[in-house]
Amino acid sequence: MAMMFGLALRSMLSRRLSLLLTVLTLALSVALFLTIERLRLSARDSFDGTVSGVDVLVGARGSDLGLLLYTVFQIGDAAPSIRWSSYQALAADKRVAWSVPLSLGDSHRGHRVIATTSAYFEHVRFGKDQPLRFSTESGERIEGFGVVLGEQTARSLGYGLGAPLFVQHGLASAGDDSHAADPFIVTGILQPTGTPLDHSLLVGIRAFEAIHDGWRGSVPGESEVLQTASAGKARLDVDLSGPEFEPSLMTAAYVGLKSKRRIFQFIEDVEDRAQSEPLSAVLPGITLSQLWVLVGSAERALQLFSVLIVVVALAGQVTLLVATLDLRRREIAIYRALGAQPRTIAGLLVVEATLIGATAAIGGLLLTLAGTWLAGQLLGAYLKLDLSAIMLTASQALALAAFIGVSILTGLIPAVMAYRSSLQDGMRARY
Amino acid sequence: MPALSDPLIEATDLRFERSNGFSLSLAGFSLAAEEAVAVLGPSGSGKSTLLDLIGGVVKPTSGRLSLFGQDTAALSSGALDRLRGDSMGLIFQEHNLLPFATVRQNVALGVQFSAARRARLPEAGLEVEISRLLSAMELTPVGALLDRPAHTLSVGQRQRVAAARALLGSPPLLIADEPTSALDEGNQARFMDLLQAARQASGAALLFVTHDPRLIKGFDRVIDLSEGVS
Repeated sequence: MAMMFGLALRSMLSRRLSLLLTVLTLALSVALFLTIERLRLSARDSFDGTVSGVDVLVGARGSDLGLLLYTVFQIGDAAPSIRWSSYQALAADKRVAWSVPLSLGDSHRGHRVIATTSAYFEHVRFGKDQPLRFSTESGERIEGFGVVLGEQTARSLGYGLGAPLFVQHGLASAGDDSHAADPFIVTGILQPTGTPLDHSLLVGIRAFEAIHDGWRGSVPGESEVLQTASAGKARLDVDLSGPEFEPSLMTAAYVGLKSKRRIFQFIEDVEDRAQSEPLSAVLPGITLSQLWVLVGSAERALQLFSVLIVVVALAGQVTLLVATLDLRRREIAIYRALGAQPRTIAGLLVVEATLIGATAAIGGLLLTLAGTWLAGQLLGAYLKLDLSAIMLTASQALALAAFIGVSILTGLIPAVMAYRSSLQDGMRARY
Repeated sequence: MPALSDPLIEATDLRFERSNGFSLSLAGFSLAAEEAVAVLGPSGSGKSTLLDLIGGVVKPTSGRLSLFGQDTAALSSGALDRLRGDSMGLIFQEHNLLPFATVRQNVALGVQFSAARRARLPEAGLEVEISRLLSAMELTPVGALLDRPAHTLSVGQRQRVAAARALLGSPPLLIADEPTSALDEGNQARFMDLLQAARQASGAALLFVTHDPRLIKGFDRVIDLSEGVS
């Protein structure tokens, strides 16, 4: 048996070029399959991690998905429509541990503005409960007329710390300069999160109220800010804590509860508060799942694509093995002429096909590891996809096992062809 | 092993027809144990077809063919494979060694698929027997040759290795299909001498197919297919 195994190895070595090509093709297909799976899962993780740490999302009565889309994904139009008093009542609920108000609807050169409070940076998470972090030397100051930029906003607009900017009504990218006299000063730049937050600007909700209310006070305006750094600092230091800066309306609120055990009761209570104002309260995770069902066709297309890659590679394996059948046929013919039984020949072929399949699977896995590690180093911070975490999932391990199984079967097709016509060859074979 | 009087091969009214119209007819044919028979005939006379029938590659269209006392008509393909592996040592026209395998592996292949042939190995063991057969075929120095890949050998050396493979495990019947056709005249004569000597030492019968009348010296009988069976 040991000798036959040695012979099988030598036989494979003698066909090393064709086998190497076969294994390489299969390994690349496995790597592509695993990479696509990894990207798909990472994309899903990233999608699910767009907002994390928020127990309940509260907004004006309407569609749950709509509320999620305009608050978390910043898709669609949203105008402040909840009374501030309703938010205060919500925040004062004994079951609420923390709350973050959001006022949306304005933008700056195509980037959406989120008006909120400093509590946003404390409580809102992304990914797997990762806190928001700032790039070096910047901070979370949105008091006064400070503004914190998402990483992509800063990068695409070329803004640095201390840069002045003004917000525009609605989502128009240009044309509206009605707030040009009320500039905000960049105080912080967020590190990338891989979420829509990267393309946003965060300002204080009181400053947001102030500019919309037409308040001027005695703070320096646009022209002074452009001329002196001290004017910019003065806009940051302005005290907006007075009741006149309290917003009358806002768009939505992120809420964290002290205990999640009675979360559904809390949601019911919020939505039943109809006597004061009709509100919607949704669980972000569940609504995200509903949204994923809607956009999941892309995921299914990716899955189909990755399976097709493997199918094409296996077809390539059969083609390559059939192309090299002549050499194999002669070898099998000699074995048969010397009395080898069908099961012996089958055993040899299965061993070879298993070695090909297993080598390709392991090679593909190693290629994926190397590729994703490299991509993680080069692009991970930019895409914020968790590419480095290449733990093989149970379904991927099952897929690899299935791949090896199918690879064995496809390897046997040309072998059976060779076996059937081999005996007469064996009596006259020419090597 | 059958007694000298028991035929290893016995054919009666044997006929085989190929789809291309070729046919072979043998009214009677037999080969006794330890007998050396040469089958002579030009190309197309049916030599290879006769070997296919005896080797169990094809079955007769009509008539009876008995191998080692068993009617081939009653044997399955697997049983014929087993019979061939256990009882026949084959030497092909072009040696049919595995080019990627070493000399040792090629010779040892002769007993890999047959428990009966392994059981017939001398007590000294496989390695010793391989060395003895290679020496008998004048493949020396044996130690230097054992681990050489077959494709590095000369044509003459390859044919002698093929003969050693056929002799390993002492099969009662050796079948040689024009084994000297690729050798020059001097090597042909030497190969025939070595093969006959090794065969006699092992007590095997020999069915030797050739188209060359110069090679039929030293055989007990000659069957000339161009003239019909004698």
